[in-house]
Amino acid sequence: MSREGREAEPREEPEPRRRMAERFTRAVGREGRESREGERPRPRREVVTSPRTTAARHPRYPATREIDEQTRLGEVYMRSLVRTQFRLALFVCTVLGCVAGGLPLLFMLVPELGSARLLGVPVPWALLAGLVYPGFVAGAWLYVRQAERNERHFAELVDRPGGRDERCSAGPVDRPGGRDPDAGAGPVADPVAESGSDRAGGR
Amino acid sequence: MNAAYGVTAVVLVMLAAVLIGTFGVRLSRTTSDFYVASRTVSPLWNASAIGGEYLSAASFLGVAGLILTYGADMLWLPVGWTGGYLVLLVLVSAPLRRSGAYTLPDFAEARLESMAVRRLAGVLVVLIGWLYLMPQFQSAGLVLRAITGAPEWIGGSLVAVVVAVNVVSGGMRSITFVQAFQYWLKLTALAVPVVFLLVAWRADGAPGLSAGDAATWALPLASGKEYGLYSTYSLILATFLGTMGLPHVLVRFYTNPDGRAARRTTLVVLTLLGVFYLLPAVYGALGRIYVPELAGGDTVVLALPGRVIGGVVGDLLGALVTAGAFAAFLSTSSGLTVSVAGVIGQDILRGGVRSFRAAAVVAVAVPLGLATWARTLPVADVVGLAFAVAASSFCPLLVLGIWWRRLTSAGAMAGLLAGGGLAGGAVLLTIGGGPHTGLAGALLAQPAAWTVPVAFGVMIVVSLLTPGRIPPGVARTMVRLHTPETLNLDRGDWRPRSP
Repeated sequence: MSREGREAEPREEPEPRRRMAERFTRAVGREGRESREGERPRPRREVVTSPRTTAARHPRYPATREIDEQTRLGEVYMRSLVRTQFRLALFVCTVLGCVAGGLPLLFMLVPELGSARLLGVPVPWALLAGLVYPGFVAGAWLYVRQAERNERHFAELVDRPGGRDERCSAGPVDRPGGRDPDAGAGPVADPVAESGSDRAGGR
Repeated sequence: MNAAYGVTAVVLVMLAAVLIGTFGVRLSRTTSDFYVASRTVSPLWNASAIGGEYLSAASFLGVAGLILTYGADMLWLPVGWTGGYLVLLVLVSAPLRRSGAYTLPDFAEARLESMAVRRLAGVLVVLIGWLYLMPQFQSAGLVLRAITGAPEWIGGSLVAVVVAVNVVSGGMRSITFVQAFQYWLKLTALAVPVVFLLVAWRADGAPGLSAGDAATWALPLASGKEYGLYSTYSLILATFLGTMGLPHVLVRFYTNPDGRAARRTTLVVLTLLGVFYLLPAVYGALGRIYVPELAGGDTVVLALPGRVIGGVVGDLLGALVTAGAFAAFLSTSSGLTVSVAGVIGQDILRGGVRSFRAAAVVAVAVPLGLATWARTLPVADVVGLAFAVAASSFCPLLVLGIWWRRLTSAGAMAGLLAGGGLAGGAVLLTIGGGPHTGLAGALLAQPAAWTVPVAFGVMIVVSLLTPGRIPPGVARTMVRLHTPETLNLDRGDWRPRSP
């Protein structure tokens, strides 16, 4: 991910890094004023002109914006989230499928289970009329825990640009979808597009 | 059973439902309150409401009746009805809430950006809703007849009128309270008599099953039913996958504040259902011991307290169970009516509260008519068919819509038509013309095992063949469906068309 973040910088231009950063900051400031009219004014974005090592580790601006603008990097973030959650869901469904699909087979292939007793009742009854329910609840609980953890990781990943972000400190964010869909496509999008990170579709 | 006790119980439940519903009216002033309770419903209330709505006559009466009749194979029915929520939890719950969709047609429109798919989804919602409502009214008639000897149409009409009045006057807010109340009433009505029944059974020397029953009835796949393994698997598939496609379940998710709350609510629902479904099996087994002659009907739950315990205590417990049964009719019917009326009101009539009210009357009247006309099948069987239709239409739409970007509107249409059409046709043949025998009978009575794969297959193949019709906003929709609400992201500007 950090590699793409670096590519977002127009490195091929011979302009000194300092001036680049100033231009970038101006662009962000302008975008912040222009496209968010009528909303709470956001503080100006600061770009820290740090040594190369730090720059390599963090993208230049928040990944949330990459997602909003549907850049290729944004798509990578989204696909990673969807894939992680889907894999988790598929895992739970597979376990469930093995239990639900396997028990009838087991009962058919091992008829002696019917005469065996568990908790004083025949095994099929103990399983289907009792034990399966706590099993469901346990599985659901584990799933919820892991799914929330995945989302937390994703939020930390995309909402922590360059170590400092006004969005983070701004507390609870806007209502979902409460923004103009095209607000993100301000002037600041252009340097990114010029440097080769194309827009991956969009409206 | 003593008729006076039973009638008193029915009247009390009806009165309570109407009173709580009326109390809720005062809290629902604006249109948005009217529809979705302003999303101020807390998770336990919400989960109780989902449970109350979900536990229909099929769960309360039907499962025990089928277990009494067919034995261990039918234990899969409550297992599937609970496990369906686990599937719903992992595949659907949070993204569905985040989609902002209030009904299944809303989701179809939001995801596929197609009015045609929306309309088709609307038709399916109405059909599934009616298929689910019809047996509720039929059982209400049967129960009332069992208590008082009144003709069957009276019980169904009584439930239909109370539901219509409640939905028309109170809307969703009051329904949430009513539903939550109904879950706990149903649980109590089934759990308290079980304690007495088990004590009486012990005092009776804990009689066991007859030798014949122990060798066949108590064992899975041993009751001599044709194509037992196929039926079991088909039942499992229908119930596990059908839950997510039930129209009245989805509406409840909209009353969660966000996707995370939707997940947690589902977890609570799963717990509540797991507790409830421990009980019908006990009734089924005790029924097999004490009242085996009731096999083939739905009345074992009502009859057991009187038979096993007897006296005033038995009568009182019988009245309690009757109250629970009517709570089941009322709650499920109310939930289904709200969602069917929502679709009719928004998509066929002009929208707005007045349309919703007119739609509610239509939503109740049609299945009431069907209930008097159609052949009476065991309630859990008909409800099982509704699950099969939902599993072969909305399940692929939801699962592919949420997790697969390349789903196209053409693919969704084709899949809904193929799956919903095939399963719906099987239902018509089973209810209208049955019972059929042999392999065809098994395939028609439990269609999910072949209609669900067909629906998924058609949806996927047609989508791959029409890559040009992938909705243009799919990337934005994916952001909307999957990212946690705490992130400040552009999620598009789609809104459900609020009335």
